Amino acid sequence: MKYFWVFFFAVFPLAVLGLCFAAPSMNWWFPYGNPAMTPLGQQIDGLFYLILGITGATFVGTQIALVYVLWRGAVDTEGKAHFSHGSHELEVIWTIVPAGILLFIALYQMDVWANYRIKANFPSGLVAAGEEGGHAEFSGPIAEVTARQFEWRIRYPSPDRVFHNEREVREWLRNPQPDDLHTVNDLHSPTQEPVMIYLRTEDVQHSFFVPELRVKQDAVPGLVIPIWWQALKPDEYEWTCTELCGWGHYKMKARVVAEPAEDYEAFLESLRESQFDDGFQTASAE
Amino acid sequence: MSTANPAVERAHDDAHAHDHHDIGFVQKYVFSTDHKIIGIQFLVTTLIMLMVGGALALGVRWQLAYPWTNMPIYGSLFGQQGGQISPEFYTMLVTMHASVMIFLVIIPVLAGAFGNFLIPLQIGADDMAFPTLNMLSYWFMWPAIFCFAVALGVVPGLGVNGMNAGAAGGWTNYPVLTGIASAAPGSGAATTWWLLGLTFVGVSSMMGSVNYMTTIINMRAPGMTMFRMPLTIWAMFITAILQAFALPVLTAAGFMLLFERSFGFTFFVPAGLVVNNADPTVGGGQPLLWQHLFWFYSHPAVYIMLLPAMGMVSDMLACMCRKPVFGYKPMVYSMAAIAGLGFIVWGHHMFTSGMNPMLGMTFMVSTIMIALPSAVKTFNWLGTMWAGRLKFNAVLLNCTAFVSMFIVGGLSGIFMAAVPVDIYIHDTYFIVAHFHYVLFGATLFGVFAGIQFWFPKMFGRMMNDTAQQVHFGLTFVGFNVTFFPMHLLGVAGMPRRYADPYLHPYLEHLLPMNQVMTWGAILMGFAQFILLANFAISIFYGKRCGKNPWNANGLEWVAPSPPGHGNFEEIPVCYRGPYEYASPLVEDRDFVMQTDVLPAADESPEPAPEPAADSN
Amino acid sequence: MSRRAQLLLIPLLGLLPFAGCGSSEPAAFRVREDVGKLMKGTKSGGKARAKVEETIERFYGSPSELRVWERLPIDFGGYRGRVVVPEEPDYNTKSAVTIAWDAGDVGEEAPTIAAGTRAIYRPLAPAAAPAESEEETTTEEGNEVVSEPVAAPEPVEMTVAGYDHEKGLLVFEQAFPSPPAAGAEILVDPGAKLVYGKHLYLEHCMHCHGVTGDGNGPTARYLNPRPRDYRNGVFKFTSTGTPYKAHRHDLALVVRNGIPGTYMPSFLLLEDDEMDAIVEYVRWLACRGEQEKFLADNLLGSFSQEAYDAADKEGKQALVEEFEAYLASDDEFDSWTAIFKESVDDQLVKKWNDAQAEAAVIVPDVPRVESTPESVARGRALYVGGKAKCVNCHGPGGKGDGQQTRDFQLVKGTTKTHPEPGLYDDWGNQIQPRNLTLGLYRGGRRPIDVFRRIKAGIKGTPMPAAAISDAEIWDLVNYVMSLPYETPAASAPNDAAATAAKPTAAGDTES
Repeated sequence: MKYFWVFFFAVFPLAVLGLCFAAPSMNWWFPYGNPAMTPLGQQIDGLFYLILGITGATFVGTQIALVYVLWRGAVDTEGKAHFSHGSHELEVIWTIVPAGILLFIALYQMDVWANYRIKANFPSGLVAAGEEGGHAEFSGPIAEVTARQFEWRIRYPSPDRVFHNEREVREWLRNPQPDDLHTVNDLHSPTQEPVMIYLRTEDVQHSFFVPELRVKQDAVPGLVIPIWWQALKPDEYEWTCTELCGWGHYKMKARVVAEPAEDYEAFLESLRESQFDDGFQTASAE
Repeated sequence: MSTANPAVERAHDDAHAHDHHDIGFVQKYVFSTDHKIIGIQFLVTTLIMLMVGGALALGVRWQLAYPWTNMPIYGSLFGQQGGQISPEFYTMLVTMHASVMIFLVIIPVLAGAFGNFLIPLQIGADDMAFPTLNMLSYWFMWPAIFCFAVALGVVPGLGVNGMNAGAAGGWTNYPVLTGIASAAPGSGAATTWWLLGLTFVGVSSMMGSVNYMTTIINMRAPGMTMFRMPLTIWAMFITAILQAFALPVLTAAGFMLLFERSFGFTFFVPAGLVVNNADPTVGGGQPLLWQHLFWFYSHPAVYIMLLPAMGMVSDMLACMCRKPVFGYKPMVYSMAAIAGLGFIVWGHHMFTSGMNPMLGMTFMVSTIMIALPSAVKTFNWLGTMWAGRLKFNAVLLNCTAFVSMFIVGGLSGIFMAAVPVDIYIHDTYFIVAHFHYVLFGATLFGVFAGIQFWFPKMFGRMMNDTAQQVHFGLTFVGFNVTFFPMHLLGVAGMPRRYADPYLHPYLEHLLPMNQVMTWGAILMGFAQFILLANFAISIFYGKRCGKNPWNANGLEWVAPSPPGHGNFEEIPVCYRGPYEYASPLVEDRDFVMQTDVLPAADESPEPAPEPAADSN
Repeated sequence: MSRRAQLLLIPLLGLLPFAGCGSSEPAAFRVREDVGKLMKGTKSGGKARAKVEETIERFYGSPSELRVWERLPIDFGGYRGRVVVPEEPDYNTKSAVTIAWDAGDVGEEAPTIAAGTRAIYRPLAPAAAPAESEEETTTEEGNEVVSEPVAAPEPVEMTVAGYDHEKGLLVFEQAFPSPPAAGAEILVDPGAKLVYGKHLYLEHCMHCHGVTGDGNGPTARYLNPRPRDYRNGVFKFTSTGTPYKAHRHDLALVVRNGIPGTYMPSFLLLEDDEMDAIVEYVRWLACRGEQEKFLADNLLGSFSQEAYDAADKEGKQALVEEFEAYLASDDEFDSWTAIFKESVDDQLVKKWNDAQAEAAVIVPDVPRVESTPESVARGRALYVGGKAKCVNCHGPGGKGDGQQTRDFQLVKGTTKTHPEPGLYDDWGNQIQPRNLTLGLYRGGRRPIDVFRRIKAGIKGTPMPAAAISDAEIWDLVNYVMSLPYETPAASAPNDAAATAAKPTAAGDTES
């Protein structure tokens, strides 16, 4: 029976490894089996694979060791066990080595996080120096996204509006304008260039999650949080909520549409047209 | 500490004086102040709660496998038309499964059941330092259970304001969702009851931890120095310190939220929110404050839910491998390190929460470094098993599973400690997989082993090992079938707490996988009946055993099985550490009990001669 | 009991959890409250309530067995066609015809008709029989045909064995009972759309709106405002004029955009066919509810359980007998059916079809008046003036706090007042006039949406249709839409400005 149990514990890591190796081909991996659709997301993927490599090797190593000691325990039945209270050298080794690896992992992550989340590190078009200062590249946010139970409401500045500096952005965030354009659950953005939105919530916490872009940020009542990304490919990306926001948490299904710049502008124009529709010309279409 | 403990002597005399005094059934088995009875009460209570929590989990699993279909049992009891549950019932299931498992199972089974039962026995005391406080700590569990039962929504008529669904804010209970009654069906009265339940659990834990610290410091038997204590005791000691320092923060936070909900304080809810067309909120609270306070307790709580199991497994592994624990002192130090670091890592639960992003970096470094002591412990367990003479019984199997599962849970933790990777996997099933591997995979397998290992001491009879092995095999298979694929779900981006993930096209194809997982969970759930049946049957019909059925070294094995009132027949005197298995000092056996007087060795109850291993 | 037997008992405890494991009631349509007040049963067995339930069940079925009653103004889905060339049966037990599909049902694309699909074959009526016949079919789970006893031959249930779109050849498993004539009707997969709509409805809508569409699903009680109860056949936000019901587009618009400020979320990402099916199912539920309500309203006067109990108690034997005789007689029941049918034509078919007509949709006869300060000022004057009387409910500042919200209002159709002051809708819920300063427009934020709200009023609520000219309405729209903003005059940019600004915007994005 004891060999059965040694075998049992040997099967577990094999099954796990088998499952993990099969997962990408079974589509049990990143959504649609695609790499991230943003440069930063691809760095995140890279870090994920790095950690996966390190932990995978550790997993295999420790599980082999575990099965080995079990097997030795099953085979060696004669006499007494090896009498030892430990080894100072071993303890030092297996403290220092993992410590080095772990510290490496930690320090290696810093840049991606800083670029993802610290506003001063955002791409230059998205942030202006200081409150009043602006520069030619400054473009400001493409939209303000407001989460509510259980949908996402999106407010775009009018295509006519040009932000010159942070103060104007702040003014716009504070005061909705009559020429703003509104959609719900449908965020359009140009591809290939960094875009920024401001995220807020009207009621409880929500979380902005676009799996294929590797973007996630909680929306917190009272805060207005900037998020940026740079979609590499025109596509419709699914967008969900990942912070429990009530009974309809799972219903907050939306999409981020990344499209070429000219399509994006055309979209805004058509949105403006329909939003200021007075029903007169379009009567026949109704 | 070198002289005999007066408390032991006094109690010992008492025991003699009252030898023939009959105390009533109620005093002996119900409102008992005897730590052993209290420990067993905790154990039985938590086993029942384990089944309750498991039943809630199966409800969750069913919904994920067969969404909006006729759910067995729940459908006919609470379901709506067609036996399907409502979305708010699902969030209640998720919330209460976690709450019951964490607050009514894992924490009390470790600290309450094993802590109570083992601490006095293993340090050679006759009882806890404060027996009445100890009794109260058990009986404060019942108001907590009652409050959670109300929060579950099963007690009708207690709802106010039309909001009487079960608490549904997740076990983390984040305001604003829970701070505003209109924000969710469960955020009415149910959440107030939930918070009250939490407070009672806290009171119970706090009484326990004060008691454990006092007992361990003051009531050790002669010769039982700190570094001759079994690792279980070290773990309980460190856990008690963690509890004592972290719990007040949670209690305070809980009261703040209660005050906010009941008396109109605004600590957490910002002004001007309109939810469900209720009146706008007033005041100027900050939702992140709750997250900070909550995780300041709840992260250390993760170690409260793990350290005692680590200690127990170290004891059991040494005994079942007939070999001293490898690196006793590094084990102690790494537990202390985990406890210390445990206080400065809470921010890793909040990487995407909108807190200052600079903090993310700090917390990432501290969080990743907490993996280090865990790694050291893992290597030491492997070292303990190496070249041992393994006894392949269910205790060993469960302990091995503990090590194996803890490795998986620990390694997956590194992914979420890394902030950039956590951006993607935060609040997905990867997290669910991770903490189930730690809390179920590690802690509960340790508990299963512990139940069988100390069962003879509790009841004077052995549990059936074959049944335990079957239970272990089924649980292990069911557990891994249920939880391992969750890592993959997380990588696929499936968010937590979704009543129906398949509305989202990128998750549609995961349905078959979820169905397999659900059947794994059902297998695992029903395997627990083997444990319960074995437990119940063995109490009455198990094979009788003597004082030391496992040939173990600890002081608890000197006492009769089960120990009488006052535990020891005579005051045990401790001559050495608890792990002298395979000692070359004795010829005829492979263990040397802590109380054994060996003619060959020059030993004394004085603390001076430390065990050889301690010098490393 | 021996010890061994006792031992065996303990594992049996493991079976305890299965104790609650009964099968739950399948989802069912809930009976309207009014119907519940009808006589449950008299001494001789007359059952007004049961008869209403039977009638509704007969024509609408249950959620697990929906009925296709073709008289309803509903697009049930499936494909309808007529036999062109009856082919000789050239398969063993199979028969085949070539078929011409009705234009509306099958467009350019080939219909997907799998083997095993149900079909209804309707033989041509004999020349003498009336052309119109009453038909009901059930769908999916049990397609049966409920037919009026007219001279038309019974429809025959068939199973499709295969379909060749190029040849238009439809092959059946069974042989036809009589050789099919050209022009005979064949209906393939009847009710497909309704069933699809039901599945989607149960997945997305049912938790709030309820299986019956009574706005009383399990989650409904926690929501404010309450989810819509479709059973009155009234929808608030429509593009149609005051007397009309809702257009399909109106329902789709609400489902697509949600209703801001309520728990109705946006279901933007539904596919078009999903949207169609859901809208159709909601309309079907509305029809069902309306008919149930119609029957209850007509019968409650004379057949309430209360009236019967009172008569019985007071010993008015004659009255009791009258009730019983009336209810026991099948003739009387048939006369109900006649009423019922009339009600379908008048109450449902005509009204719902009229709403689809172009004439029903409100189209302003002048384009939007430019939102100048003058226009806004005119709008303000109308708002506070006696002609539009907006201020009475919406308040002087547009905050929805007018005088009417503090007055006691009459219960509709009675002389009693509501117990609480404030405004009520037709469903009996207390409602608030919209706070116009928030910039939330439940029925849509396009100027035309606001125009229609003012022009036609909001159905089922105290918001009336405004009796002012279209140009005046535009002034009012301009005023109302300027309320959320600090500078009232600044509304939509005019087209000239937009075009002029375009190059700037483009230049900006390029940089």
